[in-house]
Amino acid sequence: MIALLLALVACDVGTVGPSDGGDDQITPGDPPTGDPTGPGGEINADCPLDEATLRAEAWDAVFQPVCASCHQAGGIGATSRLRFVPADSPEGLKANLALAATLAREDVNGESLLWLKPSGAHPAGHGGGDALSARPDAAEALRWFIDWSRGDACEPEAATCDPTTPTTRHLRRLTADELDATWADLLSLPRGRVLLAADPTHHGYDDVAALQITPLQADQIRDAAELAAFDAPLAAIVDCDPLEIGRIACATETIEAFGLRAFRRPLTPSDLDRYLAFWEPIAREEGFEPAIRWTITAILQSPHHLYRPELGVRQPDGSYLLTDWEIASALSYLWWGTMPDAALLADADAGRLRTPAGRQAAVDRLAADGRAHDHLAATVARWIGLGRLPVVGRDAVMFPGLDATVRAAMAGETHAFVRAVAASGGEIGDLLDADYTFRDPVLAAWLSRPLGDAPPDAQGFRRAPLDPGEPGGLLAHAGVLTTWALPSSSSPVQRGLLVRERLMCLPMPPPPPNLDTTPPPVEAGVSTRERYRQHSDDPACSGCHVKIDPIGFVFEGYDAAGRPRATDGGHPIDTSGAVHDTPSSDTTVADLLDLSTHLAGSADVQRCLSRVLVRLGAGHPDAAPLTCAADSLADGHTPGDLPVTAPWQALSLSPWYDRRVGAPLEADTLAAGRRLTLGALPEDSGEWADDVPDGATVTQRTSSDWGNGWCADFDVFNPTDTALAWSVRIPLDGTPYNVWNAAWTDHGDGTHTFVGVAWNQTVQPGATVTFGLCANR
Amino acid sequence: MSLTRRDLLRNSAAALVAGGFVRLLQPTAQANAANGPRRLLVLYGPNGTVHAHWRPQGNPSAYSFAPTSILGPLEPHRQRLIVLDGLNFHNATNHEGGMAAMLTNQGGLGSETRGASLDQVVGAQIGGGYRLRTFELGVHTSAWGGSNQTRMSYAEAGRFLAPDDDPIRAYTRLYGDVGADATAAARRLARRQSVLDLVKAEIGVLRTGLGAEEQAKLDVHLDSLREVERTLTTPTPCSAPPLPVVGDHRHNDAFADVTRAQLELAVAALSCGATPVASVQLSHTVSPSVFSFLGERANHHELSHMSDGQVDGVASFVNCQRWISSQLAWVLDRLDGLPDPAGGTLLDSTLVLFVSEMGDSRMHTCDGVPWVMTGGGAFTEGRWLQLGGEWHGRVLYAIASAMGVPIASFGDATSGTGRPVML
Repeated sequence: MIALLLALVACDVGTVGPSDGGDDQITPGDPPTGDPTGPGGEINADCPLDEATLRAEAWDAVFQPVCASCHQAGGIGATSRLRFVPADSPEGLKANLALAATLAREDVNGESLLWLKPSGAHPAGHGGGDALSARPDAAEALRWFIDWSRGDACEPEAATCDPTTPTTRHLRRLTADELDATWADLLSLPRGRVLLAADPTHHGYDDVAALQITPLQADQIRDAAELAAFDAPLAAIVDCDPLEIGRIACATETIEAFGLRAFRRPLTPSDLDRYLAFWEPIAREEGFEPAIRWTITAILQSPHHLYRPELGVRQPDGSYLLTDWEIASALSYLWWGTMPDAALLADADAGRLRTPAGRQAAVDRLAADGRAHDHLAATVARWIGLGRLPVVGRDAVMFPGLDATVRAAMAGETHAFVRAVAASGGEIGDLLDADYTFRDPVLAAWLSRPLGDAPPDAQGFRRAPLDPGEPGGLLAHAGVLTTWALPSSSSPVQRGLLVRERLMCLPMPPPPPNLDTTPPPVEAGVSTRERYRQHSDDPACSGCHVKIDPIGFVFEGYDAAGRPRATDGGHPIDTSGAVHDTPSSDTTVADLLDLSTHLAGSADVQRCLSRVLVRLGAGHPDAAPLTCAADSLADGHTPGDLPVTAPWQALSLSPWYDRRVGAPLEADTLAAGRRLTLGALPEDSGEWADDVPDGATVTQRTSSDWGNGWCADFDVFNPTDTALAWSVRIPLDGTPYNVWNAAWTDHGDGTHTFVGVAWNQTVQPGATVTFGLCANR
Repeated sequence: MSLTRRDLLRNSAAALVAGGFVRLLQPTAQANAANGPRRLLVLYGPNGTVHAHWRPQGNPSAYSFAPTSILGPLEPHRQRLIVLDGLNFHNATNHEGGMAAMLTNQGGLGSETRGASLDQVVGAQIGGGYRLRTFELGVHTSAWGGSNQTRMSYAEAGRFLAPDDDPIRAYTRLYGDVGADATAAARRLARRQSVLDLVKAEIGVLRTGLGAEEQAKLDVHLDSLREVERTLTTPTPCSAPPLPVVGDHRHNDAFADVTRAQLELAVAALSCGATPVASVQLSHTVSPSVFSFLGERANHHELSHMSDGQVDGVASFVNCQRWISSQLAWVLDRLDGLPDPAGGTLLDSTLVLFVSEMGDSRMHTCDGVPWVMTGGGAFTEGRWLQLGGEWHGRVLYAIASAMGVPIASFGDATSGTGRPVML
């Protein structure tokens, strides 16, 4: 959404011509006139609905709030086929819905045009971008209207909001921040050891469900892992004396202890064997400690470390329950942004995280810890876009001295403030209308404000009261005002978007093509406000800018470096403004104090932060049950009164949290068998432990071994109470030349898959099937 | 023929053997398509152009780049350049749309190129024997995270690759451990190989228990580890120059220094046969960078939206774009000064492509994108082509074909089939 920050500011050309590109860009036509008999009868004769129902369920639910401001005469969507007329009258409503129904019945690539466009999925794009994903309620209403228009549905069902409905979950790659924090804890090293190339974002936040490891990142992790493993203090890794208890015993103890913390679960026997087998030859060549450090280098690059599964174990009813260890990790990264500590791992080991009381006790402990307050502060900083503060370009002549130290002090103010709110059990409203802030000497000097007498925290910040009438809270923080500004001036557009898009989760569309979006020129004798006002008067622009600029004007009392100012280029400052076209926060305000006070009691802001906290924490940006849970949590409190930690509390304790459903392709992938997968094979062990917690095993019985080759039978055991098809992928010491009772695939990487053949492809409950092979080494 | 992602990788794996062999015979001349360009360098500059200040003066049979125009700094190289005037993106508009379509022509997974960008498609075809199949370098591309706003390289539809914004890291990736003694280096290589073997085996085991959705993640990881492995086992066949000096590479005022360092690395990687495909991305669409080193005070995006009446603002934008042209000129100078062991200079066998994601950015359209390119031995240079609205997908197709990629269309088939007649 940053795309439109500047581009939106003004337009001095009012001509919006038909485009030459998109196939659905049609020159404006007369709006259709509907048959005035029977309000919804001509759209769906089988299910005619009365005017009140249609107005509530379609017009007010989606078309008015999402579409109408652009798709109306004079709006920037007026040249598309969707052009609404005023809907105040029954005739107007009817005409609008008839038009929408026509588009709803039109298919592009098998999907309704009326869905493709506002969801941003149309091949030719949508001038308003993705207008739906931020408004799940509207999306649901639109989906119903489309189905109804097409005769596929009748009356809308009462909105279902069941926050306990499980969804799919993921193998979650640690985010860059999580990985960095984890290494710091794991290795007793300062933060900043591993810096990953920027990951994909989703609505401005890390796309946590979809994170992968690119070639560049794999190389960055490799490099950083080597350095970190060899820089870590030995005491952070090794807690035994190899001379005293023996090298192998000490290596075993070290790998088990470190592995438990790095994998956030106990090592399986095959894990341990694998890493001991890795350690042993290096120890022989280079000695105990270098071998341990190389082993840790490997563990830091292991998929068991870099990803944390929230996949669980399949239950007889086909659902999945997360393991105790997965729950421990989920809680820890949710609350602290880092790995579980020893106490949480002990909770997992004892099965305490499964019981409501045990989970509650763990959550209470996590929430009371300073790490939770720090993590909440970091998350709020992400919400208000402070990540860009260190690098936003600022004119060196106009703002001398705005260096990295000052910017760090600005970020520190917000961090200390949110941490204090969280630590005191504060509410969302407290983030916006506080009568105090925090300053360190650098910030106090930059703002020419007193440092205060309160004792400094570890970072040197002191709590400082504000003067009566002085705006406080996030919107008055120097870092926020600096981030949301232009290199050489304030920016009503940027600051308006901060409030709309970030604080209220109401995204704006990008400016449409073929509209000249030249920004207002800086003219001597004209204030910023006046420049922007002139341009926003253009009807082609005002449809959107009326939602942005009047909010941004309220911040005119601050320059682009976060400092209060009395005049703007010699002009007196007018800080009056207004909030338009929001679900429930419309108002007029006199100044920033007024706006902050108003937003502190805004149901829209409360919902938005609730959603952001729940979605980011759950790693599931668009899961409907979560959005619904976040909304009902927010709506259950007076606006502004929702405690800032409540969304994470609710998420941690929700029935959604520790279970999931299978992914759409998962059943197919696993149709050939359950998860009978094995780690590396210790040469002469009888049984291979598997990585899969469903109890299934494959046991090798070697019948002969002549050095250059071997033959063995393998027993596949099904411990569950259902009959299962089976397949096994295993690494083999050699290449099979004869295989019986199984079909066989060589993956070319040392591993092989064996699948049952006609007579033994199913293993009965509690039974064993056998296949066998001979292989050359 | 349709390439799957696996095919792309498999082609490269096959080429790994062949390429490795060829290189023994001919250090910097891994030939692919006969007589085609052997290297590709893509340079990106943000936010389009103002055509009146970009177009050559004269007519297509007798023209020059006016000294004060955006292309002015390239006048000494006019005879080496093909000016692609009148080139449109098909069905793409605006900043993000243009950025996403720029090197992909919007191919979905169903297209022959599977939505991969030109650099990746070419790298998959010819990069197999090299230390790095492709080398993505950036300047201030990542402060806003990875999105269709900030990325131009796509491995496949929806999966973009972050360029390395840090010249120091990129230097290490290109040259490996510099200055280590041979025994220690060999030992370290063996250890790293053991780590990779272990981790790859773990991923192989882990993935078998997962649904296809999560398996895809691990497949990408595995592919990435194979790239790392190749980097470890394929030394860059040149000695390393001194480490670049750039300060904090993320700082706005470091823009020019980081640009120069990244361009140096790109040229070095190409010239010493460490990669056949390099790209350097200067910022991204809606660039917030302030070209303060030129004395500019507004950010690049803001300047790109100045109307013709705002004479000073347009002059500032032209100033920025001229500087970007001067960077391209520097690259051409460097390539022209380095000999190609196969004969001629590196510029003779390297196709240099300058791209931007929009035409006139004040209109937010992708019509008349200000692209220029060299011929790389395959296309006649020294021309000002009047393309009259030709789809840019055909230029991508022409380049990929010239570099030996066996496809019938690039990205969207409607606009990416066949090469422009004039090119």
